[in-house]
Formats: sequence, structure tokens, C-alpha cells
Amino acid sequence: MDDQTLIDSQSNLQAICQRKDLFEGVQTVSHAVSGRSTLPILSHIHIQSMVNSLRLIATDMEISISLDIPARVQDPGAITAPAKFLAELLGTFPEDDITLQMEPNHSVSIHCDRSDYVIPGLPAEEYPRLPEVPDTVHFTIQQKVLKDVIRKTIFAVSIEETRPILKGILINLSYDCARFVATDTHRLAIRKVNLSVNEGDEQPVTSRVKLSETTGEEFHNAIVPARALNELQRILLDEPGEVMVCIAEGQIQFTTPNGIKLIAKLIEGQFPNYERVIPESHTRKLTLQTVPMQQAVRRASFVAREDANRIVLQILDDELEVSANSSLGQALEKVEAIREGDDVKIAFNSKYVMDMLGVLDSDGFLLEITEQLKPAIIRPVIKDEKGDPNDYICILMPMQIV
Amino acid sequence: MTLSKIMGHASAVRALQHALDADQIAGTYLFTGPEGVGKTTLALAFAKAAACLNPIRSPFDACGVCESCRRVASASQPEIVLIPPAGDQTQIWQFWDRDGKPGGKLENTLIHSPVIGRKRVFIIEKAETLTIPAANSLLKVLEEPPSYAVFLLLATHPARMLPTILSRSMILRLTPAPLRELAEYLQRELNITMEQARLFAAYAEGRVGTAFRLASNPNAFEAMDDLARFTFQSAQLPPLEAFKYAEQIRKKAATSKALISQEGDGAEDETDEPSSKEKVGRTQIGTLLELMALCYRDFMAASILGEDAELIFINHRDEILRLSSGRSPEGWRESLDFILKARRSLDRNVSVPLLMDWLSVRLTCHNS
Repeated sequence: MDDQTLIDSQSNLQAICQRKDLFEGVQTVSHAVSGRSTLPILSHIHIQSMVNSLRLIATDMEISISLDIPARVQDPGAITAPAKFLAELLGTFPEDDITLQMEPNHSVSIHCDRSDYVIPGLPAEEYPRLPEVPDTVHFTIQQKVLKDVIRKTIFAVSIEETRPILKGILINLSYDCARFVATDTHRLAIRKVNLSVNEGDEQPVTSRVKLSETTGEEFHNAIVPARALNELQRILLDEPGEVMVCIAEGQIQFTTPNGIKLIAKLIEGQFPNYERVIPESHTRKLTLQTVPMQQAVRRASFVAREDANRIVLQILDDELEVSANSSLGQALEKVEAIREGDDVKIAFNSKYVMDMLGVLDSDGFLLEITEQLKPAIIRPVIKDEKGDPNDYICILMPMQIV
Repeated sequence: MTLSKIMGHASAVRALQHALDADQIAGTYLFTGPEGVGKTTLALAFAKAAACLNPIRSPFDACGVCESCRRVASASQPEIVLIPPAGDQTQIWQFWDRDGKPGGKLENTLIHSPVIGRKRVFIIEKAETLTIPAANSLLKVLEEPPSYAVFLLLATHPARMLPTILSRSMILRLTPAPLRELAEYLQRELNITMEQARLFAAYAEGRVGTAFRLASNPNAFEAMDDLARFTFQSAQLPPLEAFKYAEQIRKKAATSKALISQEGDGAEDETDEPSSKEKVGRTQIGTLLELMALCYRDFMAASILGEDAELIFINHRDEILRLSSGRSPEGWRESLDFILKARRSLDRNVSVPLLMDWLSVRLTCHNS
């Protein structure tokens, strides 16, 4: 197989860049380096020269993060270097220009101020890559909004290996909106984002959605692994700017406003029909304050720990009683509530309730209940009639009361 | 190794090539057959062909030049995963992440379509060592693997596997190759003499993998020849020397190490086990007994057919012919039975010194 070696292995890289740029770039792409891989080269990052920049790429074959940093390229080429080691080294260098140069045997020499290091690399042409994603289907979304969407859905993603399809977040894209859905069959979180207007400010419409012309479908589904979105959440900033999302066969690509590209493999398969479990109506509605309820549930959960995290919610007059009972003792919390409908008693897993309350930004929320053993809905209270009440809903399966 | 070059499993290879060509490969295959018959070799060749980006058609095979094939050749194709047992058992954490253990091989990979090749192939070696939780954790994925994934289970003893796994697998039985065919193959591939090739083929009982490993070992022939000469003594020793000979058997067995370490069969690899020293001792004596059985087979053949007999130890033809006249075919058969019985008893944990004493008394009692 020796004659198969690629020609560009002959090239030599030599480039000068700022320590800060390189360090931050290495740190960012390192998110995609997996600590335990079967392939040694995947613990490395790939550095390739472009015109007046260096492109850093890291991948674990499931996700790939790449970005460009400004650099003076004196000799084009590509190298690989161990990600962790490189980050440690760069973190301690003084603020100065860094010269990267390829040495024989795939080694890399790093020169900064009065420091000179040579670290062994691996043949750059052997570095595997995830292919670039063509923009057959794409949409843009505000960076802030995307970050919020991930935060509000990712907690509901399943961690069980038996149903891999639930280990990701479904993006259901249609011409005017995108729905982000996550579920582990005990709870479900749906965040709908209107793509025809920008949320949060009165800017004119800038979002563009393109769906595949070949299939002619009115919507497009993609299941993105939770791990990829976790890493994306860390890369995204709380600043204005749009993220371009491209979806193609088996892959998705996010391009952030500052040029970082995250490519992820999609989870293949059919997401369960989540719309069927959304209750169409309810017979009882409670309006509660988020913070007092959160505190009450947290306290009660200490007792509930020994009883499968079971907390019982009971509506009595204008109060909601949160109780728990186990070998650790008895808990009874009273929370003010505005109610519509009859008295009811219903039990939930306290962990799931806390997860949901933890991501709510609104001061109040609605708890919509039908019956003791039917799913309940939690949704934030919408102020000033702005926004759709269906923008964010969480569905919670109740537990048996014993 | 490519599918077309696989030796001795023509029908299995044809069935697999057919399925690949028609793009109708099953989600789960189970290759069964004796130790060293070539299950892993076939599995790897099949994996290479299934992952290849530009496969050759009719007969279907890997191209050898695409990125996937290149990475297979340099052992850096992460989408072809070999999962051997961890010690004596194949545990659940080898498939799925568990706290405090290295990462699972299926966790986070199975849900993604392959990037480098066309398929993801998971090869589970010694599938009979799957623990019950591990086997059960695979039921769902074996039943309906994603369209891009293939599972290859390899097992010597399929009867020890869960029926629920068996019923989910397409079973391919790999059988030992005919000795003559195997010997010719060894001679051709490894450039060894025909008499050596025949000896290895016969000793391996037609198991391609075992024969190939032995034949590739430069010391193997000499070691076997030495052990054969040692065995010839037992056919002419006076009965009074039996116990001395028993003592020698155990010492001599140590020299069969050269044969064993090259076999690479899992059982001998587990050197970190507490009982491994004792186990290796038994394996070596087992190897010696198997060789003795081959020698006695030659004696028996020579005593029945005389000059026309087709011998395995052809380089000792004169000696075998001379010694074989010492007993009747019936007598040789009886001795052969004793050797085979001793071999079986060895696996049943009979005390080695006692067994060797018994065997040498039995073998020498007819000598005058």
C-alpha cells in the first residue's frame, strides 16, 4: 500500500500566528477530541494552511469542529499535533508570535519568544474528516435563540442505550418555523422557534429557510445527538449574530457568526410521533410562581429521594400542597396558586419537575392537568400577549400514587 | 486478506459474496466452526469488502485502493471493530459505557452512519463467552441493526449461546478443509516442502488458521519432528522403562511451547490468570498427545497397508515401517485409543503425573 501515500505529504508547513488566537482555537476545537478513541490520530488536531490563515480541525468521527485563525503562511502544508499536549503548552507560553513548522517524521516545532519545542505528530494525510455539508436544506437562527433552545430541551434527552433515537434532539423544520423536540418517554420538551421574525428584537426578517427541492416535502426532520448540541452550546455566545444550519444526508453543520463550524453525524431512524402525546385539552389549570415552587419541590425532593423521587401535588382551595413521604420522613409544602377546575391529586418525579422549572425564565408558569394518570403540561406564562403559548411546552408523565 | 483469497470456505464465501453483490446482507451473521478454522480471517475479509467504497463486482470483493481499504491495511479503519472477550467473558461494558470502565464500542458509534467506509462492521469474537446481561443488551440491535451496520458473531460452541441470539443470526458453518487441498495451499503460499505442509495440515486437522500459523513458524517443523522421534521410543521401550518414560513425557512437553505460542488461540493468551501456569502445562501435554496420536495413526496405517500406506510423517517412513511390524493393527488401534482417551481426560482435569504413568504403562505393555 506504500504507493498509495498522498502527494501532499511532501509539503512543509511554516506559519506565524498569535499565541492567543492559536490557543483559543485549539481549546475550541478540542471539544471534539474524544478522550478514548480506538484511533490514535483522533486525539490529535489537524492544522492546515489556508491563504493568510490556519485551519484547525478536530474530530472524533461523530462531531467535528473547525475554525480559521489569522496567520502569516510562509510555506503551505498540514500537520497534526496531540490536542491536549498542545493546549497545555500554548496555555503557558508568553503573549507573542508563535512559529509553527513541520519537521521530519511528522514532528512539529513550535517557537515562541525564547522557547523552542518539538513535539511528535502523525501523518496529516491520514487524519480522517467528516465531509462538508452541502446546503440542500438550511435555515438561519439567532445565536442567542439557538443557545436558549438547546438549554430548554437538552435535559429531556434520554440517556438509555436501548433507544438510540431518543439520545438526540429532533429538529422539525418547516417553512416558517423550527420545532426542537427532546424526550426520554417520561417527559417531553418542545421549543418552537418562529423563523419568519427575529425573536427578542424588532429587526426586519432575516431568517431564510430552504427545504429540499427534490423531495418537495413541506418539512424536514433531523435528529442531532445531544453530545453535539452540548458542545455547540459551549461554543455559542450570548451575542447577536446568526448561526447558519445546513442539513444534508446523515449530517448537520452549524456555522457560528465567528466562523466556527461544527459538523455532526445525525442519528438515523424515525423519531417517535411526539404530537400524539400532547394532550389536546385539560380540565384543570394552575398558575404558579416559578421560584417558590422550585424551592418547595427541591426541599420536598430530599424526602422523596427514598421513594423513587415521588412528590404528590394536591390542589386544595387556593393552595397547592406538595408532599412527599418516605423512610426519611414526611414533607408538606404549601405554594400559592391560582386555579381553574376541580380538586386533583397527582404525583410526579421530583427530578423531572426540577429539571423543567430550572430552565424556565418566566416568573410564573402554568400547570395543566387532566386526570391523575394522564400527562400534564408545564408552560411559561406569556407576558403582554407577546409570543405564542405553544412556543415552549414540557409534558410530564405522572407517577402512580401509592 | 480478501474474500477471493480465502481458502477452504468456498461455499460460505460464495454465499457472502452473493449477499454483498445483491446488497442483501443480513444484519447479523454467526460464523461457527472449530478453533483456528479461519472464522476471524473470514470475518475481517468480509468486513473489508462490506466497507469498501469501490468494490469489485462478480465476484464481489474489496478494491484494496479506496480510503477504507487503505485504512484496513494500516489497521486504522475505526469503523471495523473487533471485540474479543475481556479475560474469560465478553462483558456488557465492552459494548455500552459503564462507570469506571473504558468506553463501550457500540456506544455513540452504532447510531451514526459510517464516514470512511460503506458499512460499520462489528466483529464479536468468541461470542459464546458473552455474559447473559451482555447478550441481552445486544438483542435489540441484533434484531434490527441500522441499515449501515453489520454484526459478525464468531463462536466455537454455538450451543453455549442464548437461543434468542441464535435465532437472530444467519448461521454460516465453517468446516475444516480437506487435508490434501490445505497442504497444497500451505505449500504454495508459504513455500514449504510438501511433506512439511502435509504434516501441518494433518496436525491441524484441516483447520486453516491453525495450520497456517504453524506453517508460518520456522521452528514448528523441527519441534514437531523432535516430538515425533520421541514418540517412536514409546513403541519399542521395554515395559520396565514405562515410568521413566512417563517422567520424560512431561519434560518433553515443555518443548512443544514453540508450537503453542504460535497458535495464538485465546485460551493460551490469558497469561494474567492465576491458573495459567497449570493451564499452559496441560496445553503443552495436550499438544504432545495430539502428535503422539498422529504417529500411532501412521503405525496403524503402515501395519495394515505396509508399503502402500499414506503416511503423515513421511520423512520417517523407514522407521515407521520397521516399528509397525512389531504389533498387529488391532494392537496399534488399542494404543491409539489409549492416547485419545488420555487427551480427553486431560481436559477433564485428571492429575497429569498419574495420567502420564497410566498412558506409558499402557503403551509399552505390548513391547517385548
